[in-house]
Amino acid sequence: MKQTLQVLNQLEADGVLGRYAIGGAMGATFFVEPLLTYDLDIFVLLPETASGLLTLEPLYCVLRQRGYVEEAECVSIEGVPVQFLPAYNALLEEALREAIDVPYEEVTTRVLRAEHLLAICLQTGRSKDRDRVRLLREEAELDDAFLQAVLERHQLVEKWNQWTS
Amino acid sequence: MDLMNTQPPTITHLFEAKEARRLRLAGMSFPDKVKALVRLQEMAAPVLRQRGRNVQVWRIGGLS
Repeated sequence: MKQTLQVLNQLEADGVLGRYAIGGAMGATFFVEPLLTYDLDIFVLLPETASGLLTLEPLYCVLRQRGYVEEAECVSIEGVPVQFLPAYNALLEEALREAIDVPYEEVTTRVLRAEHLLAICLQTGRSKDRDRVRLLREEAELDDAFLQAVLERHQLVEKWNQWTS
Repeated sequence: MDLMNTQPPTITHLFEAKEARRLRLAGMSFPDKVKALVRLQEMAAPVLRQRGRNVQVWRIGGLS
């Protein structure tokens, strides 16, 4: 895991990634009890391509050159299947901008804030997202004012009310 | 009297203990949570593989 994070940091330092942060189940695990997952979800801001298309291909190309192979929708990096998810909307872009630095052994990595993880769950809306919202509400220390502002900015207040009433 | 809603004190105590454990787990350090996750993966992988799901237990330093 430490080596995986070092590779991610290097990709960012080399400009292959604009900025990255851990999200998904592993991101939530930072704030709640450990959640079973087999993928490390990494949200990324990608550098602009000439065509303006949002594509992971340049990133995959660099990873292949460094010896990391694709397996289904993931790339195995130092023993951990990593799924890269480009920030494709305003909520994800904001979540990445405001992600927090956290230490992992001697490495520094970045995790999305709990409030953004919760908002992303609301926006995604799968049944497992409902479970994660419940866990985040029960176990994470949420900044209520910050959460409210995120929900209002991204038109998620109504869904929040539906899911929590 | 609604007997269906009556819970024996032992069961209530067990649920409270479970809840306390979950909160304790939530308060662990990030590296310790990753180690716990890998243990979970190791436990769940044989069951998932039997169901035909191809899963890979993470290789992390400082474990096993």
